[in-house]
Order: sequence, then structure tokens, then C-alpha cells
Amino acid sequence: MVDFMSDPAKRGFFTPQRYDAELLDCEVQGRIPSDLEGTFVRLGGEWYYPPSHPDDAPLHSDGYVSAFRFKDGRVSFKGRYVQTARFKANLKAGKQLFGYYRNRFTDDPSVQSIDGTVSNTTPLVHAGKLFALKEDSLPHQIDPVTLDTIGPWDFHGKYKSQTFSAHPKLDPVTGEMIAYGNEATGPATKDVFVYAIDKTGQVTRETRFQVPYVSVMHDIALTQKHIIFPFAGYVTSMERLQAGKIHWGWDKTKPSYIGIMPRDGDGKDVRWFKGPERCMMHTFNAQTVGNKVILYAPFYDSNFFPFFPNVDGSPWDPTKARAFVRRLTFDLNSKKDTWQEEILFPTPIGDLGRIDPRYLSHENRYCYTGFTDPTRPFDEARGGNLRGRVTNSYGRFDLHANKVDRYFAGDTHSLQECCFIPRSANAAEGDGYLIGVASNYAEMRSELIIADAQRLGEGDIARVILPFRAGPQVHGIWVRPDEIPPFPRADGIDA
Amino acid sequence: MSDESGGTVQGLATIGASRRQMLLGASLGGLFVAASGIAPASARTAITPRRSSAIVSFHRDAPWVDASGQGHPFDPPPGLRGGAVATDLTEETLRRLACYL
Repeated sequence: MVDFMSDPAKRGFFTPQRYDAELLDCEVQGRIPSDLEGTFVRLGGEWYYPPSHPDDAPLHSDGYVSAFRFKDGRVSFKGRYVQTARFKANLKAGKQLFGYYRNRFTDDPSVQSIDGTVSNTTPLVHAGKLFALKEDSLPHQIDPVTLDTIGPWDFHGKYKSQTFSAHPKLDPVTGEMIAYGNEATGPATKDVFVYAIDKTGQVTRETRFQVPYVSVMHDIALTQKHIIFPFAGYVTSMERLQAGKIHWGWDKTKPSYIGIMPRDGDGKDVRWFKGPERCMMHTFNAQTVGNKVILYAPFYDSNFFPFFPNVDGSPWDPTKARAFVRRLTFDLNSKKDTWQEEILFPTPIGDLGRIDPRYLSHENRYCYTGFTDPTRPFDEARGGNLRGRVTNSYGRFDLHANKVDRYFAGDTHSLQECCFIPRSANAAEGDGYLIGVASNYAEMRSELIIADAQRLGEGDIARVILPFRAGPQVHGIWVRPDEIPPFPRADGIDA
Repeated sequence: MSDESGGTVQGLATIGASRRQMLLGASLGGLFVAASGIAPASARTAITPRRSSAIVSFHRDAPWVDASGQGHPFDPPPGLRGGAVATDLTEETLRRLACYL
């Protein structure tokens, strides 16, 4: 029997929605730009059955893929659960069979041989295929028309790692994908496998190395010459897993590490740099300039996730879970194993940061991310008391002019990760649209905002209004019509 | 007896009031000032302290003020308060519920 009622926190806007959805022609406030054609694909997690353990990570919730399809000023919406093997096994049993986040020792014995991934982190389009990614498993291929789940994809048998990162990098010039698997040979292993996959989806290179200690290597960065592998603080071990604990704990005594490897090098060429306590989840971008590698990243001071508890038993400290736009500089000619770090803007930010994807691995000017602007109001009477606790703004952080342009979603809204869309293939950096899903707590619905990325202070130019909540999102991508076939709309609407 | 601004409460007297009324007003005004520590302008000019016209009531976790003094029935603003469940959650509990909010 499905019972979410016993969890008092899963109420209001946080009630698991548990349905697939389709809306053939969405309500729009304002006017969709005529040059906006394509699909905004989102991926996140939504519990279909309650977790086995109330303190399990929300990152363990079932993957939910959704898409907004834009054409000729009209928008349609579709949302489906990712039908992983785990999802199907739970559905057959009518209950949650899986235990703690990524700890197979805590699963029901009946699912020991079943892939336990929830495929809930990042959508990816490469070589004409749409994938749902999570870092504990292979990519799951998704039908771009129906959003049905096709199944795991191992790149014609050439991808050997058990895991595939949620953040591979796509070279905007060559179309090559740099992907990697952390804990590549199994849980708590130090092995990392790195792959180059060409624009047709063929594996062209593989290299392997081991990390100084097993940790979360959630994201990497790419320059034209190097791959950057940051990780810090999170720890695991087979002993920890066998003891029935959640996969990750946080050890504040551990140094942070950043490995730098030439793109044409192999595992023995990785050079490790060591730094202070940091929580390194996502990156913005990186460049190689002469003998220096420069990384821009929204790293936290310390552990961001309280559900991955401190191994020393101390309480989680929210005051240290602050991220900033940081610049890290590595001198490859220096014998020192440290880096220079600068906080470029004093504003604490959310770490779901984005750039103009055409500038990945090249010098860029703008970084986009959400943040909480404390000067903006929140109408508690209409939305409930979330003042100061939600991402209410997007910022365009100008690395050259050292200023922030801001978009405010509204006084009963919070914002999920933003996505930058170039106005055209040849548009200048920053010339385009910034979109993202806003949660409207007064109306209990989701709204996709579309703003001019060069005029964020003027508010959005259009909003797609859904009459329901679209579900949580971790990451989203904009897909052009030439990248994957768009899903058709209803009869009578031009597809 | 002085009020907060340093003035005296002799100003409570108004033109035309009887001596008894003046004394009563001065006493009540002084009591008001002593009890509240403030001296609203009305206390300086009225014979007796004026009752505040605002009415405070509570709806769920939010106070509501009817400033008309006419006792209008409570009329909550429109809104489904979808975030209300988070009111009593600690930062940790909220982050465990939804880490990207």
C-alpha cells in the first residue's frame, strides 16, 4: 500500500506528484519569441514509492523526464517517469524494495541482481540519441518522441565502466564527448575510466587511473588541452556499506583534490593538486592559458548535503554550505601542488550553474546561476513561509565587468536550474534567452519563464503556465530540432 | 513627570476642560506613559488616552491586522500557501526534503 501520509513534510508543493502528464497546447502569458524553436528537456527525481529509510537522500528518488516543445510560438509539455529496472521492480511489488542511496547491502534480497539506478540527474543529447544520466550506472536511452525508456546504452559494447557520469562534456567545435565513470569497477573502488566518444557515438579512446581516495566526482571541466577532475570531502568504503550506511559520508579532515590530465594523455599523466576543505559538485567552465589552467566553479565551503552526514558525528552546518563563483588557477610549471583561489562575487549562489554551451572549454564572459536575493520580497500570506529559503533570482555573472544582472521570478516563486539558449548559431555570447522552471507556491503550479538574457532586470518576456506542478528538476538542456527529432504535438497543431 | 521626548504631561490638558477633568487626564496620561514608556501624540492632547483602532488576529501562522477599527471579518489573501509545510522545518530538514529549492 502506498503511504506518503506518514511523512508530514511531503505536503503542499512537496507532495510527490506520481503521475505522467501531457499537455498538448500550454497556456502562455506574454509572447513566445518566434525564433525559439526546440525542446527544453528536464530530468529530476520524484518518489513513486516512499523511501525505505526516512533519512535517505532525495537524490535517490525515481527519475522523471519532462520536455517543453516550442514551435511557432506555441508550447506543449510531456512528462514521464524513467522506467528503469528498479522502477519496474518496485511497481510489480507495489512497494519500495531498495534501501539507502547506492548501498546494495540495504536492498531487499529479491532485487540484488537488478540495476538499482534511478536515472534522475541530467538529460543528454549526443549522436542523435537522448539519454537520462545518473553517476551510478550506464546512461538510459529515452525515446525523444514518446519519452519512453528504451534502456541502458553501452556505446556498442565499447564503454567498459560500470558507471557513467551525470556531467560528460561536449566539445562545441568537434562534437566529441568526454565522459567518465567514477567507482568504475564497483562501489567504493578507486578506479576512474575516461572516454573520448566522437560525434557519431563511437568510442575512440579510453584511459584509466585511480584517485587518491574514493569520493564524489560529480562533475569535470574541459579545456581545449586538459580535463579537470575535482573531488573533495565525501568518503565511502566497503566497510561503511556493509555496515548498512548511506553511500557517502562527509569527512572534513580530507583535503580536496583536483586532477588535471592532458586531453591526449592517459592515466599516468594525471597531476594531482591538493587544497582545503571544499564541496566540489559542479563547474562552470575552464581554459588553458599558456602554462596555466583556469577553472571557474560554484564550489561550496563545505558539505552541501545533510543527508550525507559527517563521519565524526558532528551536526551538519548550514552556514558552511555556501557556494560562490570561484576562480581557481593552476600553474602547471610550478612544482607546488596547490592552486590559487579567488571568490569573484560576494553573493552566495546556488551551484546549478550554466554558461553559453558554445563557449565550453573556451574563454567565456558570462556565468548564469540561481541565487537567493534577500532584498526581494516573499509573500508568506499567499505562498507560505519560505522567505529567504528559496532561489528567487537568476544572475548573469559578468566575469569581465565584474557585475551581476538579476532576474526576479516573483514574490511567491522559487526557481530551478536555468538554461541559456543562444538566439542563433552565430549570435554573440550572451545574446539569447534564459529559461527555467519556477515553482509558484501561491497557485501550486509550475511556470516556465523565458527572459531575454541581456535584459534580465526587465523580467520575463513570456511564461508557460502549467496547471500542475512539473516535478523537481536537477538539470535541464535545450535541444535544437536538428539534434533529435522533436516529439509531435496533437492533430491540428503543426509539428 | 516627563514623557519620552522630555516634555511634560501637563500638555494633556485642553482648553475648556474642568479642573477635575484635567487632573483625571493628567493622571491617566501619566499612567499610560509610565506603563508603555511612550507618549503618543494623542496622549498629549486628549483628556483620556485613545484606544488603538487596529485589531490583531491570527490565521494559521500569520498575524493579520485590521486597521480600520471596524472589526471587519478576517479575509485571507488569495493563495494556496504551497510552501507552508516548510515553515517549521529546520534548514537541514528542508534540505533533506528538497535539496534544490
